[in-house]
Amino acid sequence: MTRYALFLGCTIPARQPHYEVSARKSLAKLGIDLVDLEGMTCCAPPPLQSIDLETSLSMAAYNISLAEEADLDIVTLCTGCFESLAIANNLLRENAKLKERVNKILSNAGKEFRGNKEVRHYLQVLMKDVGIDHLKKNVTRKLGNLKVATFYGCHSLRPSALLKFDDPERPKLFDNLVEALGAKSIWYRNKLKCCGGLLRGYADDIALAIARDKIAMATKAGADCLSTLCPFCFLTLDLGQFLMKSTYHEEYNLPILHYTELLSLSLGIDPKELALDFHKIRVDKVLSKIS
Amino acid sequence: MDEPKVGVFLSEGGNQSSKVLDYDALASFAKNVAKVVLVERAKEFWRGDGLKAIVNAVKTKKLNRVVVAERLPKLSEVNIVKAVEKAGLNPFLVEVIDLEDHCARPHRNKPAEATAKAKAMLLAAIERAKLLEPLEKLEFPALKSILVIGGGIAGMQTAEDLAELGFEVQLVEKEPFLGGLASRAGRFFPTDDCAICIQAPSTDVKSITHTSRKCVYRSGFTEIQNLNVLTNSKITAVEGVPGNYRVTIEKKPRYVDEQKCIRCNLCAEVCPVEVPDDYNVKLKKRKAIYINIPEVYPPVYVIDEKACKFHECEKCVKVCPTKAVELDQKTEKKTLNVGAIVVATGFEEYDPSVIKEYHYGEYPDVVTNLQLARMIDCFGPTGGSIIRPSTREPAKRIVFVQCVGSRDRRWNPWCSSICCMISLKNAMLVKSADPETDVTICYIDIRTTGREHEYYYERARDMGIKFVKGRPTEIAHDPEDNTLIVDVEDAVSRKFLELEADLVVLATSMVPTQGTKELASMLGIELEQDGFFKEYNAKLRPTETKRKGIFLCGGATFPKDAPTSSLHAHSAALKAAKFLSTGKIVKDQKTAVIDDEYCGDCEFCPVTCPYGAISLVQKGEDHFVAQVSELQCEGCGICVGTCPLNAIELRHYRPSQMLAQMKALMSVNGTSKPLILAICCSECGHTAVDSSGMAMLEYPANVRVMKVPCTGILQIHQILEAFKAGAQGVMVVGCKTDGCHYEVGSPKAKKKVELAKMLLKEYGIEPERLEMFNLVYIEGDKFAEVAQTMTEKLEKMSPLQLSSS
Repeated sequence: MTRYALFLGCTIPARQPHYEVSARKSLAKLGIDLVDLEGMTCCAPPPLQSIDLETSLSMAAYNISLAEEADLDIVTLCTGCFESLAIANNLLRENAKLKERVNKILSNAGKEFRGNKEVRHYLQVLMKDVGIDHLKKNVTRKLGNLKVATFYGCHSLRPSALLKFDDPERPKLFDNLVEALGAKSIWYRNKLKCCGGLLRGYADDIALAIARDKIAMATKAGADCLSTLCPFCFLTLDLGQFLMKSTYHEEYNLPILHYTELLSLSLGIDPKELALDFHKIRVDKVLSKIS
Repeated sequence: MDEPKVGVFLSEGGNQSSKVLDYDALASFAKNVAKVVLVERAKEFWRGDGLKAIVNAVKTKKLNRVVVAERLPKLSEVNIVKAVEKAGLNPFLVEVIDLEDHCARPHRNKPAEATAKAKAMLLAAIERAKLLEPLEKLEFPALKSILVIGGGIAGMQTAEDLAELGFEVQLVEKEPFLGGLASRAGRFFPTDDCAICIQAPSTDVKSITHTSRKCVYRSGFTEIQNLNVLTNSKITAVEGVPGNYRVTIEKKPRYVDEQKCIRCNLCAEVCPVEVPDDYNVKLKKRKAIYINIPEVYPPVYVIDEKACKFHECEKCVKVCPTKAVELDQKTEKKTLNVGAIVVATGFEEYDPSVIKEYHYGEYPDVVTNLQLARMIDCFGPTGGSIIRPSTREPAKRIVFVQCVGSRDRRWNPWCSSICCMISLKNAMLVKSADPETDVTICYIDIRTTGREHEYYYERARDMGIKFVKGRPTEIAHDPEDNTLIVDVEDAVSRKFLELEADLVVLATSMVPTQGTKELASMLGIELEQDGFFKEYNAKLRPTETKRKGIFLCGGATFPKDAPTSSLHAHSAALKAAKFLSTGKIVKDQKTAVIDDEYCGDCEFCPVTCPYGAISLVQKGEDHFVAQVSELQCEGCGICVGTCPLNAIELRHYRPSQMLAQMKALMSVNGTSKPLILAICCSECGHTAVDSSGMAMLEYPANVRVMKVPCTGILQIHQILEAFKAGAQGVMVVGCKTDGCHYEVGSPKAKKKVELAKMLLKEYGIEPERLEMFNLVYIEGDKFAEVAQTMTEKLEKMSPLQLSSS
């Protein structure tokens, strides 16, 4: 059993319990033991870094210090959380002065950042601790004829030098893990571009246009579903399809699934246990294709 | 050396000097200086009767030192020195000073002060003259043979020029065939003529006229007398001195006898090995025994060592009708002695596969301009048709991407200058061959400098080639329909475009050829930051290097189009010919000498010398001493300033000479202001003083100017000696730190001044008494300004009291 401290963040417990439940069930099946630590707080989302770096790093370092105390590496589901924590972890390890200043702030809360633990995204954990071969062996329900459009989003890939997730120009990790489930990872235009989500609330029309482009391209390429890693991308592309319908009068009905949901399905977990009702776009099409 | 007998010649010059300076007082002052045997006055001494008077006095009075105060000394000195030499006196025993621009003009409103300063200047010149020593004119033999490295368009033209001028020329090319990058370009802009076409040698008797152009293979190039071509060869070592460089060359075996091969192609037909063809940038395959194209020189097949199976196969040996294939040929080593070397190693395309967003090397239909040029060339891999390498089908939609790897700080910051024209040329050739082809060029700026070039751009637009102002962010590949998609923001229409293409052509940056660094270190010459060879001076010596006898031409200094490369090549040939034409190198003995006894073999001077003129030679077991090559020494004195043991002196600027001058300049004040010694380098520093005088600018007469070859010669103790001699302040005036005529002298002086300031502080002397100024010639106004402010600053301080004074 490999043990990790699970960092859930805010969006997943509040809005996307289906992401959490599928992650917990599938990772447990693959021998990953997720430990919930008490006292985890906000990850200090990436935009905060541009407002006040030290404050944001201190918040992230606070969370990491909890894992250090428990002697566990961290795994995240949300790529935004992954980015915040991984940047903080690597930046503070490299920069002694910054670490000193952050630790001074943390001392008010009785914490200290040491930098002796890793922050990983669960895709990295699957690759490193489970491995493609082991994963393939555990697949009981092959997603044989499912065409999946993978969507990496921004936070997982960049800044690549700090995150060390994958080659930001030619990422393969996600696609390899989808293909390990027996599904086909398809190419579609603008695959590596933004989901538009971060523009919501500021320029809704542009945000929606970008999201629409994403959905349209994946549909055009013949995708059965689009798979995401980030709850924010999910929200933008799933709920966004309703807005596309009212704004553009276009109905795509492209199911959006988190990778953990595809994983759970392929590991033979009953769809009824996966809280799939939380999806705005019904996933029945996908279920009918794989059963 | 005999007892000094100094003659002083005072030119009263123009109105300015005679109105300001009291020449009677000056003459009687000079007469009373020890060893002065003659003082003469005239309107001018640098020509006509004045010059005759000097010659006469040297002869009749047996003068052995001549001091002349004359206007425009940098000009007049030439005449005076020549005349004195004719009169039988060593020309290095003459000292010429300028009482007009350095004294009368800037102090014209204070005649008494000016006369006092003139006395000090005269005394300094006399004291220095007394200590001058006769120097020789040196002659070194120079071989009338030249090595040209690189057989591209530049190297071939230089070699041809030089051979026809009668020099023995060795042309070394690392590839098995001549031609270089230019010959692969298909066509040249702006004339659209054939790339393998070169100037036919004037000695070709069969040419209709000597101006005719011909293909390389029929030009008779290699039959030029005195020209020896070594292909498949590279330089492995360079030793020796200008005029006699000893070069080691490694000639790789061709495995085919050049005399026997009849180019029948039977060998290539039977050869079972196929490898990607580098000449055609891997667009096709070739055999292990091959020839690039039928039109190359030498017209002899060659075996690719890395691919051939040699004795395991031997098919070519058996089939060859003339028994030309010799699989047991070995690498030959040759040494050549040459008087000069011309580097013409050119440039090459940058490998764009590092720019991941363009997927070069991953998507076969993303190619470079050179690959497209090979396709356009009817001798090329596709016989002139433009195809998609992935399917070999015709490419109907073509997008060019400009500035790939250039003008980009991630890769190469420079503009490669020729890629815009290359793309325009290729785009038009494609479009005119098939007007239906859809051609788009994505650019940042289209740079069409040069005659006819803008017209070329205009014609491209008329032909219907589309232009998008924007640098593409990504090239994607749609595997479904095998289409490339170029994402680009058009800055003109302010729209994001997704251009669909069958073929994307990258206009890649041009970079130095592989091995440039190694060659530079072998030759002992420098590279610019961009990695290209550095010319001595881009404006005035664009084909020369800091090392005498080593010249540059063509793309070796920066990417160039063919016309500019030709120009550069002919220019380099002329410079090399001029260097060797007399068979000897003549130079004076204004050089550094090393006192073996003091030399501590610390290796500071060999490393510091900008000309590589100093080396360490063994003197007994474990003991080395530095040795100066008089041929290479430029007499700047930077080694003097560097030596921690005072073991080096310049023959014409010995510390004793400088000290005597310093003391004399400080011996007469005549003003109420604190004396300042301005130590000026002979290049921009001293001429800035000239230009302030010429411009009639005023500054106080307490500022006294002493000339040194380069400020790099200064040693810290000399600065302290200046204070000891009576200076209240010291100004060091040198060239701009990035414009030092001796490269490193001025920046070194700057550091030394900083160090001296720290020492002054230690000794309880205000460090502000010492300043360094970096000026260029035209900044005479700045000199006057800093002389004024320095004086004002010192006036506010209490006088410097040194224990010895």
